Amino acid sequence: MMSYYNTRHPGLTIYCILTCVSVIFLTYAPTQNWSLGFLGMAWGGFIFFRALSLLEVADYPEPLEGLNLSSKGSTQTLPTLATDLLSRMDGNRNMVRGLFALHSVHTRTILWFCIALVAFFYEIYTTLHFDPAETKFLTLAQNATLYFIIGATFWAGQTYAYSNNVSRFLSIFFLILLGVAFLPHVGLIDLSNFWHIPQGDNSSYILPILFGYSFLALLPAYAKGRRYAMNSIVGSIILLFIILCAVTLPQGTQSYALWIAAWGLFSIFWVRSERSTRKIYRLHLTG
Amino acid sequence: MRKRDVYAARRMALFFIGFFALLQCALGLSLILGQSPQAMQVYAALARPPFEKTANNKTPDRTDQALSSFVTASNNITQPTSVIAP
Repeated sequence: MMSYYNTRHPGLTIYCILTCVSVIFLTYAPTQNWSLGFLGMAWGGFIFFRALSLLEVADYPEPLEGLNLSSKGSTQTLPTLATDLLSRMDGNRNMVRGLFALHSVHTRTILWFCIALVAFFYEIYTTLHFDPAETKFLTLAQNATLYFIIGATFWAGQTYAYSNNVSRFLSIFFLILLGVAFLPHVGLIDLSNFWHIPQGDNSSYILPILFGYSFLALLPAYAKGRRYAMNSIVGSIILLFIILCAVTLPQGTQSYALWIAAWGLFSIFWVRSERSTRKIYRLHLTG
Repeated sequence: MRKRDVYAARRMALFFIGFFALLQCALGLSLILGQSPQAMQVYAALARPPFEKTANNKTPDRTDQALSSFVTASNNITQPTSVIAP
């Protein structure tokens, strides 16, 4: 079986392209069902393969007894041994990257997705009243796709934010995307909406609940140390910005582009407020 | 919680994430197909309730309807004329 962690993978590039296309499409192009469907399929496929790649390193590491520690190949000559060791070290480095990426399935992140799922089903229950019709189904599929893209950006961003270099790159990338998504809203900010939070069938329960939970989940990080606290403060500032946008801006597909960029930016500080990304070298034998 | 359980929980979470990703692929496909009139007919057929309520709020008996339509149809069958002379 070909191992995912033997070579440099294009996952980060695909993630950036998908996020960029989603934000630009939702901001500037009129929403069509077929294009939203293509976006949903692309994101679904990407997340599926990302989860599949992480499964490879999600096995419990067995004890070293019984494993063949000798060099690969029958010859024990010095050049073969050196090449083999270098190859194993390279594989090990990529494996450690995968292990860092597993921080994205931390309990609080899984709880975030569970809350989002429950809120989404509650929203279906309150808005659709289980009245099946083709138009309702398409509306449901549209909403589910948009929420899935937001959740996918949030989760996949965490799987790549383990590295200092990548998280720095992603921060700049998402800041630019946030600017791109925010441009059409510049003249539309209505502060009078701040005190009149929309209520009724059209208002979504999901985002306010997730804001509240994220704020609460960031609180323990303040007591863990200066570095974690700094990441939590930046994360809280991003959350405040999202809430301000959610309250003052008109709802529509353009606002979803804003959420995608903002939750992607937040994902970096979310994962770094929980776990440090200092380098730990371990030997993982792949048999 | 033992370390082995943590790994098992991670694997379970990854399985669920993969499952929802596949579900999203299906939803995306349905959004694409939703543009075509044939797919809309399928959606409408799936969404239609199995028994329509009548004006007096009684569910019509489909068996009686089917029987009566069968009897009507069989009464309307005309005897084929034989082409072979007796």
